[in-house]
Amino acid sequence: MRQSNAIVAILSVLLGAVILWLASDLTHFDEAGVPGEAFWPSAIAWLFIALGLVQAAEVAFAPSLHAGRTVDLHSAPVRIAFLGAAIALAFAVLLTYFGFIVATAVFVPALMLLMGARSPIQITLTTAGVIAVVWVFFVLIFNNELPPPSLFE
Amino acid sequence: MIDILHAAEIVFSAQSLLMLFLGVFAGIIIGALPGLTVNMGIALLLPLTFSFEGMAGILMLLGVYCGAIYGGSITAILINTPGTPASAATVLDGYPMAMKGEAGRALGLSTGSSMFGGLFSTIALVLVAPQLAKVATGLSAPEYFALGVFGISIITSVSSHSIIKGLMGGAIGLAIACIGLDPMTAGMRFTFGSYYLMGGISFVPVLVGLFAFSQAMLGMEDNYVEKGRSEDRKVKVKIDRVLPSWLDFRRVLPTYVRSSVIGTIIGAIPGTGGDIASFVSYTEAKRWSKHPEEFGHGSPEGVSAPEAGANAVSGGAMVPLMTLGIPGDGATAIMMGAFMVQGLQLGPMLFTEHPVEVNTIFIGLFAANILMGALGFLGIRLFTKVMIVPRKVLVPIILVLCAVGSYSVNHTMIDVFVMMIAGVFGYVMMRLDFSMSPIVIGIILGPMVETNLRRALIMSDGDFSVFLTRPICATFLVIAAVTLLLPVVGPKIGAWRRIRRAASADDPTNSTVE
Repeated sequence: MRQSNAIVAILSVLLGAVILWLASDLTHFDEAGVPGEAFWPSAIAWLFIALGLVQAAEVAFAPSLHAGRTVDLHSAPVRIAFLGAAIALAFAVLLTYFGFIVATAVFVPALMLLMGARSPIQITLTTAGVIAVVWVFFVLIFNNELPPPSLFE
Repeated sequence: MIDILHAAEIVFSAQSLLMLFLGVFAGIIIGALPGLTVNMGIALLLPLTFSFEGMAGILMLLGVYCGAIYGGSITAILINTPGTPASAATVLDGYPMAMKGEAGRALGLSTGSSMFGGLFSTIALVLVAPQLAKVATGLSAPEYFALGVFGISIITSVSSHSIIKGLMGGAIGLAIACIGLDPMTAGMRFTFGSYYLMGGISFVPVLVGLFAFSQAMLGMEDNYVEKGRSEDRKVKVKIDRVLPSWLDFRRVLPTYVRSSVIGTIIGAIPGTGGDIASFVSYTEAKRWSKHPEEFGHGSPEGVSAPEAGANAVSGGAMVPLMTLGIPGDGATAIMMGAFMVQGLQLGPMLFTEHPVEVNTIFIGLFAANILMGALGFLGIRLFTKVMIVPRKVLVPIILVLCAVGSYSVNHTMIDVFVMMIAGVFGYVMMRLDFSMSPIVIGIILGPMVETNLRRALIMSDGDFSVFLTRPICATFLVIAAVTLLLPVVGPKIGAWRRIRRAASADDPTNSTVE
C-alpha cells in the first residue's frame, strides 16, 4: 500500500501540474479582477498538488496508517477481471461495426466461457435471452435505438 | 391544490405506475443480489429514463431507490449476507430468526418496517421540504456557492478508507466537470479541438462506468474466487406466513416509529446514509426494549428497527436534495444528475418554478413505498429465487446493459468507450482504496460551485470578502469547514481525551479513599 500511495501522490502532483500547464493560455482574471476561464481549473490544479503533497507526507511520516494493507493488481482474480474488461472493449468495437445482435451473440458466450460456464444450453439460453429482453425493452417498449451495424450502412 | 391533483394524475397514469412498478421490482432484485448496490442499480437504469417523457423516468428511479434499500434485507435474513450495507444490522437478528424456522415472520417484519419507514419519511419530507425551500428562496450566488462547497465537503464522510483519497476523488470529479464550454463565457476549456468534448464529458456514461462496469469487474473477481458456487446463496430455510400477525405488529409499532424518526433525521444530514441509520436504530431499539436479552438471538424489534431506519433515509435524504440541491450520498448524487438531465434544477427554486414536479415526487415516493410493501409481501418467494442467479450469467447481462444504456443517451459509440474507460479507471481506483461517490459529487456540484463563485465575484467586483460578510454564506462555509475537518480532527481529539483519561486514572494523586 505504501508504494501505491507514493505513486498516487506523484500522479496527483503531476495531474495538478498538467492542468496548470493546460490552463496557462486561458484567462485568469479580467480587467475588473473577476475570475476568468482559468481560475477554477487552476484552483483544482493547486488542490491536486496540495493533496499529492499531503499524501506524500503521509507515506513518509505516518507509514503505520496503512500498515498491513496491500494493493492487489496482479493476482489471478484481478487478471480475470482485466481480461473480462478487455473482452468488453472488444464487444464495443464489434458493436460499432456489426451492431447489437451480432456483437452480443459473440460477447455473452465469450464472457461466460471466461467466467467458467461450460453448459452449452445455459450459454445459448442466456445469450438469446439477453438479446431478446434488451431488444423488446429498448426497441419495442421504450422506443429507443440500439447500436446499428455501421459496416453495412 | 390544482398542482397536487395534476401531480396525482401524472403518478397514477398507466405509464407512470408501470415505471414505478418496474423500478421497485428491479430495485428489490438489485438489493437482493449480493454485490449489486443501490448506486449501481440507479446508474444502470438511469439511461433508460431518457426514453420517457415527463416524470416517468424520475418515478422509476425513485422506485429503484426505495426497492433496492429494502431488497438488501431479504439476503440478510435468508442467507446471512446483507444485500446492501444498510442491511448489515438486519443480519444480527434476521438470520437467527430464520434459523429458528421463522423466516417468513422475519421477512414480514422487515417488509412492514421498510414500508412504514419509507412512508413516515415521505410524510416528513412533504411537511418539512416546502418550509425549508421558502426560507432558502432568498439565497443568491454567494450563498449558493457556500451551499455547493458544503455539499462537496461531505466527501470526507463518504470516503471509505482515506480522506485524502476521497478529496482527490472529489477533485477528479471537479476536473472532469471543467471540460467543455466555460459556463460563464462559453469559451472552450480542455477540448483539444474535439466536438465531443465541447459538450463536456457526458455525465451518464461516466456514472455507469464508475458504478456499474467497475462492479461487474468486481463480480468477475468474486466469481473466480468462489469458483461459480452460486449454491452458497441457495435458501435452505422454509418460508411460511409472511404477513405480520396483529400481536407482532403491536409489539414492534413503537420500534417502527422510533426508528423511522431516527432514519429520517439521519437521512437529512448530508454525508450519512442507510448503514448509519440502521445501526443507530438497532442500538436504540435494544436500549428501549423490554427484552434486550433477545437481541442477537432473533428479536422481532431487532429485525424491524434497522429496516425502518434504513428505509426512512430515502425521504430524509430528499430534503436537502430537493430544497438546497445538496446530495447526501452517492445514490442521491446520481439522482440529482438524473433530475438535471431531465431539466429539473434542484434547489429552493424547484418549489416555485416546478410545483407539479415537486408534488409528483412526493406522491411518487408514497406510491413507491406502498408498491415496495405490496411486492415484498406478495413476491418474496420469487425474489428468493433470483438470489441464486450465478454471477457468470449476471455479469454479462450487466455489461450488455452498461453498453446499451450508455449508447442510448446520445446515440454515439464514443459514450460506450467513455463508459468502459471510466469503469476500468473506477475498478483500479477501488483497488487503491478510492471511493466512487466523491467523484460523482464533484462532477455534479462542480459547475454549480464554479458558476456561483464567479457570479458572486462579479457582484462584488472581485472582492472575496463577500463570502464572509453575508451571514448565511459564512455559516455554510463554516459548517463545510467543520464537516471537512471533523473526520480528520475528531478521532485525534477522541484519542487525546482517552489518553488523558487513562493518564488521570493511573495517577495515584487522583485516587480517592472510600
